[in-house]
Amino acid sequence: MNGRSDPSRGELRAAWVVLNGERRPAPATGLLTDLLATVGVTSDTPAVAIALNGRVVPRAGWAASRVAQGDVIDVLRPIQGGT
Amino acid sequence: MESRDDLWMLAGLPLRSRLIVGTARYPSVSVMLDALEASGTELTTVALRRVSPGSSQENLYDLLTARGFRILPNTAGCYTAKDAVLTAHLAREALGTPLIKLEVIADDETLLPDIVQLLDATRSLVREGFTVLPYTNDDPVTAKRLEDLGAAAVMPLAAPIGSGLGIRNPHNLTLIRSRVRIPVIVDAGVGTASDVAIAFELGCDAVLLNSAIARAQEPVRMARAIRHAAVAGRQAFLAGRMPQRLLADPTSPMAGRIDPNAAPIS
Amino acid sequence: MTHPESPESTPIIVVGAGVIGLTVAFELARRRIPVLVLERDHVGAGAAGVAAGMLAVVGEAEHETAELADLLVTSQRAYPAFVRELQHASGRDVGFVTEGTLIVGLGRDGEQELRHSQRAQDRLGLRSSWLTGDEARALEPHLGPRISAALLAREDHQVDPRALLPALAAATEALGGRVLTGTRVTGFDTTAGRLTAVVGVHQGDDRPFAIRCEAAVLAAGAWCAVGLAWPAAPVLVRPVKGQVVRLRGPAILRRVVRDTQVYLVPRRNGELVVGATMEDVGFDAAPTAGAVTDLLWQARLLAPAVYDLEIVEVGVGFRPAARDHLPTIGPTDVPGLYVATGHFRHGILLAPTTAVLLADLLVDDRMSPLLDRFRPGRFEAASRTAPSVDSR
Repeated sequence: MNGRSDPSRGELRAAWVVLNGERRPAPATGLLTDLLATVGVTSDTPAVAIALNGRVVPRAGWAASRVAQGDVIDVLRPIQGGT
Repeated sequence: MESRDDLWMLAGLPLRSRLIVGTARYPSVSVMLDALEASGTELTTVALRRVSPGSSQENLYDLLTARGFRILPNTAGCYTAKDAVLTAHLAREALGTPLIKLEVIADDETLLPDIVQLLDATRSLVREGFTVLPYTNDDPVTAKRLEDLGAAAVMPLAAPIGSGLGIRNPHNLTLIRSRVRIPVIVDAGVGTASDVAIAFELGCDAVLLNSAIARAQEPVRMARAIRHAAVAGRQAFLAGRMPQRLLADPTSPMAGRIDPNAAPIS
Repeated sequence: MTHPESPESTPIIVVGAGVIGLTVAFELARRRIPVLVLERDHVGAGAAGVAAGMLAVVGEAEHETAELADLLVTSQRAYPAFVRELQHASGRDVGFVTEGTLIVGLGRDGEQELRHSQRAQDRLGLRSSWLTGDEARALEPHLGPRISAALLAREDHQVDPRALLPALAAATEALGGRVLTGTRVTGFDTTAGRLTAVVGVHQGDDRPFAIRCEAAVLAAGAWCAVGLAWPAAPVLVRPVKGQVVRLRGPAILRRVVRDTQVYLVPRRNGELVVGATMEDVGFDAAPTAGAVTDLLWQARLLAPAVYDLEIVEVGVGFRPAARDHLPTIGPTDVPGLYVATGHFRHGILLAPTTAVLLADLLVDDRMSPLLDRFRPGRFEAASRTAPSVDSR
């Protein structure tokens, strides 16, 4: 289904990803945007950054990005901070 | 209060207030917003963290930008250049700003900067088009190196982060100011209003502070005091202070005094 | 279709069986008002089930403004009578321990923090006594050698929330009220702008329900912010995550011991509650290694004997916090719909006063001036006057 998935992991088992440290079912479509939609993040959401396996996914690249079994996705936002 | 003709430039961004104020450790978000307003700042720092989306109808970004504050993301909590570079990229992505307050911390008891990692991260981020504002120790040599690498300003500490100890080595800040051409922003360690005034009297271009306001008994009042101190210190610097002397120099003339022993002349 | 168990109508509905919702229900039941509590999960499933139950006024002085201090002091004074009546009505013990609290300082920096706290207390008109490290150790022999000073807050007591909440539910039911769990409220029906019913679904089978009522009190804590269709301007609260470690073993402390980083709350059943983190991370329910490390490291500095205690549980709760960290208590824009949330770090302590003030409002239409600062609409006015981006 997904070019990056490893057949030895068993395609029949439900695939999962880790979103902000929490294990969740991978989107059936394999699309990053569908995963983000489950937590209310769309391309219009201001002040949010997405990292996929420790690499930044620029907003323009969200639509074309795919997530596969075991991928780690982080949703980051500005919080109160100083020095 | 701040003078209209005394703007300072941070990487092409003209700013009237010479205070950059952090957003952490206030008693509440409301107090934070009121204190930021009272300080007169135009630029506020934020950190970037994983936050579960959809948990709240309010977010910090909206609250700050609705009041017209510009946002300076930091890399607080980063201990390596790699860590800091990733955080900077995420911040640019989230906030759409090339500005980054670069912190690479060496150890968690002193929170002093790790200079080796800092120089490394500065080099990478400048190459990748960031406007890098590195938090550094008060060492003139390091400051010069950072300028040579293309930092947009240097941010020497006054004292360790959150210590409130004030300016521990004013001479080094003077040396830094005299040796680099980019803005010098005193970052960390300020404890109260007079510390801010001294930083400006030394010729520093701006002061970044957080706990001195947030942890005061009355943060909003302290923010106002610090705003006055910044203006006072800056104006004193521009006015040019008198020379310091070892011995007194009378301010009233000796001539024309009355003679207490005056007697009738016969 | 309504659930066979859920009635078609009831005078007053309380949404949320946390400490605020149940205390409001208990107060209404005491006044002989039929009340129904709807809880999506179980009694105490939210923040109160994790809370340490400190009734702290002096110990929280640094975090608080004068606006809240009045309410905290009022509620602290009301607690002994509240506990007495609750224990009588429920026939249960709620673990009320009246040994006070020791706020300790480690070394020079710790002492400076204590002085800062004491100045904050003075400004609020609160009192505590200054003790040397040795005087503190005479009171609590297990305190660590690095403790060099302490403040004794004689009136900062504790209650066990895990005993308190079931007692509140039992007392409410004993007085004729009802507590219905597994019912998730999703919104409110209105007619001509006035509240007429509370609607939702039964957990498990998702069957919808609608219960007519004269008034409803939304006391869903941090969950007031999510999953609700609001007929009025929504109440703005955010979750502030707190992690708490529960330890068990020989009793090492008699009273609450805390510093600026951590608190240790000894229960009579041998449990020692160590809390709590303050994390602005949304509804992230994962307990983390970092939080446990930080809490236990600091706990060990305060009382080295924690080293040998058994770890029983790492709990995660979400405190409801408004922008100003003050509670939100009172009527909304929709007649008949009331709110009691945003109690942040003080839900257990503020519950009795919140309940009395809200019951006065619901039953007698009497609005206490104490509630003025906690009006639900207070932020709308503030945001209307906020300067726009262009005005800078």
